[in-house]
Amino acid sequence: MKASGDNQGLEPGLARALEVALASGVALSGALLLAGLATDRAGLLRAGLLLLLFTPVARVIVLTVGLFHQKDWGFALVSLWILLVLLSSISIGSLLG
Amino acid sequence: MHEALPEISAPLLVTIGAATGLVGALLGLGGGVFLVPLLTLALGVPIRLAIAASLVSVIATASASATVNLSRGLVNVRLGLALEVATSFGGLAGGLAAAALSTRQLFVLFAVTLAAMGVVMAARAGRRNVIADLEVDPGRLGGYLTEGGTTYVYRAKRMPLAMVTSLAAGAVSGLLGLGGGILKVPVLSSFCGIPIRIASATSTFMIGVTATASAFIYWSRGDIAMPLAAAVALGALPGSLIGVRLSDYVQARSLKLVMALVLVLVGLRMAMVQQP
Repeated sequence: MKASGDNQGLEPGLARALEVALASGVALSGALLLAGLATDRAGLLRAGLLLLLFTPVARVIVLTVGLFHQKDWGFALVSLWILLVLLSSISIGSLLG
Repeated sequence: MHEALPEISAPLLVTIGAATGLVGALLGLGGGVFLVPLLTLALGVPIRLAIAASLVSVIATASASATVNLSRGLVNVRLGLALEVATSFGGLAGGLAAAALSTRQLFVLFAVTLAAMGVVMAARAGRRNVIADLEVDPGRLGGYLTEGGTTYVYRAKRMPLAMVTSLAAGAVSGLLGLGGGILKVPVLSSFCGIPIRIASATSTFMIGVTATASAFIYWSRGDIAMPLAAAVALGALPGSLIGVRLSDYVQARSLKLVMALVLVLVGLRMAMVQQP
C-alpha cells in the first residue's frame, strides 16, 4: 500500500535539500565506482568509496545548517552533535591509519 | 594481518550486491544480513572484509532508499535525529570494538544475531501497529501518516527504550556490518507508538549515519577491500531503489516468514564455521 506523510513537519525545502545531497552523493559515487570497475583503476574506486562514505556526512551538514537557519535551536544542536561524532570517527580513523 | 581475498569476478559481486540490496530494502533490513553470509560461506571472503564491504553497501542502500522515503514524507527527521545520538555513538564504539574480536567470535556473534532476527521476524510477520485517533496532538516527536487514503496521527512514547535500542543497533552495525533496522523497527513500532512505515523509513534515514560512524574506522584499518566493496556497493544502489519501491506492492507476510527461516538456517550454518 502506498503511504505518504510530512516528514514530521520538516520544512519541504529542507527535505528537498537532504534528498538532493543524498541523491547527488549516491549518483556521483555510483558513476565513479562504475568507471573504476570498468577501467580497473584503483584511484577511481577509492574516490568513489570515499565519496560514498562522505554522503551521509554531507546529509548531516545540510540538516544542521537548515535547522540553524530555521532557528530550531534544540534539534540544530542535536544535529551538530552528530556531526561532531562523525568527525571524531574520521579523526580516530586517521590516527589509526 | 590480512587474510587473502579470493579472486571473484566483478560482475558476480555487482549481482550479489544488487540481489542482497533488493531483498534488504524490500524487507527494511538492509542488505548486510544476506550479504555477509553469502560472501563468507559461498565465496570464502574473510569475515572482516565481508563486514567492511557490507557496511559500505549499507551506506549505499540507506542513502538511496532515504531519497525515496524523504520525497514521500515518510521520514520522521526529528525523531531520527534524537535517536542518531545513540546509534552514531554505538556505531563508533562497535567499529572500534570489532578489532578486539577473533574471527571465530565474529562468526558466532553474527550467527546469534541472525537467529535472533529470524525469530523476531517470524513473530512479527502479521503485525500492524496501532494508530492513534486524529484529534491527538502529535507532540515534538510524533507526526502524521496517510495510508490507503486515511490520515493518522501518532505520538512517540517510551523514548528511553528507543534510545537504548538505537545504541544497541549502532553497536551491532559497527561490529557486524548490519544496518540495525531489524532491532529498531520492531521496537519503535511495537512499543514506541511509531507506525511501521514511518519506523522503517526513519530507521533507514539513520542507518547511513550509523554505518558511516564505523566505516571510517574500517577504512583506516584497510579492511574496505577495494574491488570487493566497490562492486557490492555499486550493485546495492539499483537493487535497493527497486526494493524500496516494490515494498508498496509485495505481500510481505509470507516473504517475511520464508526469510525468517532462511535467517535462522544461515545463522546455524555460520555458527558451525571452524576458524581460528
